[in-house]
Parts: sequence; C-alpha cells; structure tokens
Amino acid sequence: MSQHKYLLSLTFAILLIALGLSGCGQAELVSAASEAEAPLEAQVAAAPAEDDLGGAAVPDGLAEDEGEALPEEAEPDYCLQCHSDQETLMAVADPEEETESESEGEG
Amino acid sequence: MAPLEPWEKVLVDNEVYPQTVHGLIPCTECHGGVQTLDKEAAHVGLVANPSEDAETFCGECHPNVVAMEENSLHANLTGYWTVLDARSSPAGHEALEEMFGNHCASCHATCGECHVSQPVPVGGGLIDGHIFNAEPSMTRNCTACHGSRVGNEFLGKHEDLKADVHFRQGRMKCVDCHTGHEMHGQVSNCEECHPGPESAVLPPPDHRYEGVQTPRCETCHMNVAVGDDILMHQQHGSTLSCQVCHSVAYTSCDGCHVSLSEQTGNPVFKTEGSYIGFFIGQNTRKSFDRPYDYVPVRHVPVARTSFEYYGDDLLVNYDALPTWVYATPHNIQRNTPQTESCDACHGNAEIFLTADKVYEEELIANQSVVVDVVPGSVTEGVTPIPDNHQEYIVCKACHEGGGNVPGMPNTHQAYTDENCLLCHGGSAVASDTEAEETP
Repeated sequence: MSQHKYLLSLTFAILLIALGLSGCGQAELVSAASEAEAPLEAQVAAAPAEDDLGGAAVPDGLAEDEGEALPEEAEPDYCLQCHSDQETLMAVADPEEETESESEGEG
Repeated sequence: MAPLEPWEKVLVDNEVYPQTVHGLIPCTECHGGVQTLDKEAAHVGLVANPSEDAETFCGECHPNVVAMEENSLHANLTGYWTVLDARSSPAGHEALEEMFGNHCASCHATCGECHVSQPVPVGGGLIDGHIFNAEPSMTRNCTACHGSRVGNEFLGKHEDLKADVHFRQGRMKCVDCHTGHEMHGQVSNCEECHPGPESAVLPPPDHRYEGVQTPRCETCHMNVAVGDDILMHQQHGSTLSCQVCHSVAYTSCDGCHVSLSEQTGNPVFKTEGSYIGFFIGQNTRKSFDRPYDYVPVRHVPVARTSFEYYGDDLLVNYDALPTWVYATPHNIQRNTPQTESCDACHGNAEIFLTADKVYEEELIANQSVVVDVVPGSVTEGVTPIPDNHQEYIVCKACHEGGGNVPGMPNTHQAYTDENCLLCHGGSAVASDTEAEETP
C-alpha cells in the first residue's frame, strides 16, 4: 500500500515537472517569434526600465508610448485620389462620341 | 435633364462620401479594377455598375430587399412580356426576344440606377458624388425614365396645363406615394395577399391594375372614403375612378416602330404621333378593388406593325388587348373641366372614347373600352330651382336657376330626404301633367 502511494506521488511529481518545463519552452518560443516578427515592438518591450537607466529622465512621450503598437501606414486609395480630383478627371476623361439620335417622337 | 460631362459622371465627393457607410468599403471591392495611378491599368476588370449583380454586391447588407428583386417590375420588366405574349404567338417569340433585347431590356433599373447614379438609358453618371441616397431623386431618377408622360404631366410641362396639385401645392415627390415596397416588389401590408381569413390568399397580381390599389388616393383622402359632404363623391364614388373627375388632359402616343440604325447599328424608334387629350372609356379591369364603370383611357404606342423590322405579322393576336388602356394620369387637380357641371360629362360625347375616335383597324381590339352610349344630359329639360331655394345646394347641382320643380322623379331616389319630400311628395313623376299638380 505504501509502495503504491510512493509510486503515485512520484508520477505526480514527474508530471508537474514536465508541465513546468513545457510551459517555459512555449514562453521562450513565443518570445523568440515575437522578436523575429516584430523587432521594433520587441525593442520597445526590451527597453530597460527607468530604474535600469540609473534614474535618467525618460521623455514623457516615450514613456506614454511604451508598449503600444505603432500605427500602420494607410495605403493610398488611388481610385478615390483620382475620382475626387475634378481637374485630373477633366484631363484624362475619354471624350464621349456625340451621335445624333435617329429616333423620332416621344419615347 | 441636362446631360452630364464625362468627368462629371464619375466625380466622387471626397469629403462626404468616405464618411458614409458605403464609403467605408474599398472601391475595388465592388468595382474591381486595380489600385494604381495608371488609368488604363486601374480600369482592368472594372465593374462599372456592380448592382447589376445585386445578390453579390448588395445582398450581403440588404438581403430583404434583394430577395424580392425578382418581383420588382423595374428589374424583371414583366409588363412588357405580359402584353407581348398576349398579342403574339409562340412562333414569333424568337424574333420578339431579339427585339426585346435590343429595344426594351435596357429600360430596367438596377439598385444603383435609383440610389447612386442616373439610369444608364439616360446617360448614367453619379448623382451626388457617389453618395447613396435612400430616396431617389425625382427628376434625375424617376422622371429621367418616366418623363414623356408621367414627368411632363406631374411637373406641368405641357402648355396651358397646370402641374399636378400634389406637386404644385403639396410639393410631393414620386416616393411620397410610390413607396420603397412598391419599387422593390414587396407587398406593403399583409392584406395585399391575405384579404380575409387565414385560408384566403390572393394569387399574385398579373397586372399593375390588379389587386389592391397601391398607391390609393383614399389613403390620404380618407374623408372621401368614409363619406364626405361632396355630393358627387357620394353619387359617383364607386362608378368613376378618381381620375375621371380630377385629372386633366394627358399624352397618348400612336404607332411606335423600332429598328436598328443602318449607319450605327444602334436601336432606333419612331412614333407616328403623340397628342394631348382626355378620354373616358369603359373600365376593362373591373374588380373588387377597381369597381368603376368608367376610367380615363390612354392610347399606348403599339401598332400592328410595330416590330415588322424583326419579322412579318409578329403581333398576330393584335386584337387580343385594347390599345386604349386604363390610365391614371399624374396631373390631378381639384377643379377640372369635368367638375364644372354635370353636363360637362353628361351628354358631352367629346370626352368619351366613342367609336369614331378609334382607328378603324383597332375597333375590334377596343370594343370593350369604347363607350357606345354616352350618359345623357342631366339638366336638359330639367326645371330650374326657384330663387327661394338657394339654400338647397344639393338640388342646385343640377337645378341651378329658378322656377318650379315637379314631384320627385324615379331617378331621384337618392335625394328623397325629408327636405325635398316635405314639399315635393314621395311619388315618382311620370309626366309634366303630374308635375303641374305638385306644389
């Protein structure tokens, strides 16, 4: 009976260790991937804390931005750009062929 | 409607449009094409009128409307085929389908042609910088197509004829009567299909003058429906459509012929004539909802040879339908020549569609419409009302003037109220002799 108890305790302990190890591994993988994919964000994240700078003053803006994603640059909308510019449209519009209607009477 | 310049047709409002719901959708998602500054490359794969495929481009956000599109006359153009089928035989259908494709099919309207741009048949072009308008523009959408009859009548463009009172005084637009439900092929209320018990379901109407009247004058003019103090509404409310008394002259057209231009290959039409007139005919579409004996009738532009460019005798059953048809002119006035007096209509053959006004070759087609006997004068030979009877306004409608009135004739049963009976007795008058005996 005591041997059985010992075996159970041992198995439980091994499982705990294994779980702990796998958790650390995942964290490392995620961290590595983040660094590779978003170096800018990683740099911001890895920037030394205020204490590490030996009490040096940190610009307000940087402190506020710390940890926030940088805005993506919007792609220009060339369709709207052209179609909202009257002068451009007048310059490039294909002239319409004026054909005299051969129809007669009320339609 | 002045035509738009080419650049004007595609100018987008860069300030307002991007702030609208549709402005949040990338251009290329609906219009295809490529995001580049090079014009030619940008327009590769362009879809100019995305709502031609309404299910794909509109249905995701407007599923209820798009689902009913197949019932919309603007989309299915069923009205054309209703009359083409009736006047033709299957042998002519192939030629008629070709004709239809060349001359009629372009007259449909997509979602966009009512809500964002002018209709293609009138040149197209964005209306309001690509802003989607829930309510179509009256002049740039509705009457852009429905112009030669409805538009000209409603807006008062015919010489000496006033604009419709609903426009002139009410400042009403088309959509004030013709709702989105009607335009989208949806029923506006349950009773349009279910008139009574659960089991009673009406078949879908197969004509625009079948089924419940929508729009219906009485929807707004409820006092007329419940019985107002206007004698003529009581007298004629169920026998004449409202337009018989309250519309003025309108356009009819004759002899439209279609062909393809020898020079350009473009579709061409020629109508033999159009004219303004007012004609009362028999109601060939009499029903519970339209019980009238008489309605205004308009000549439609069809002729026996309208489509002869595509084959001989394609309208082999030409006489199957009248060419003078039930009309609801859009030039309503409170006072019209017909409302001036009883004899403006009674005994006035000029305003009835009598046989002499119908082309001989169309007499058979119109025999159900033609008025054989014009309702007789109601004042001819009628003794005028005496001067001391001026307060009897009901009587004055016919008996204006002075003199003696005989006893109550048989035709006056509706007026035998106590005011008249007090003096004129209740018995019918058969002759002038009897009349003299009556006080």
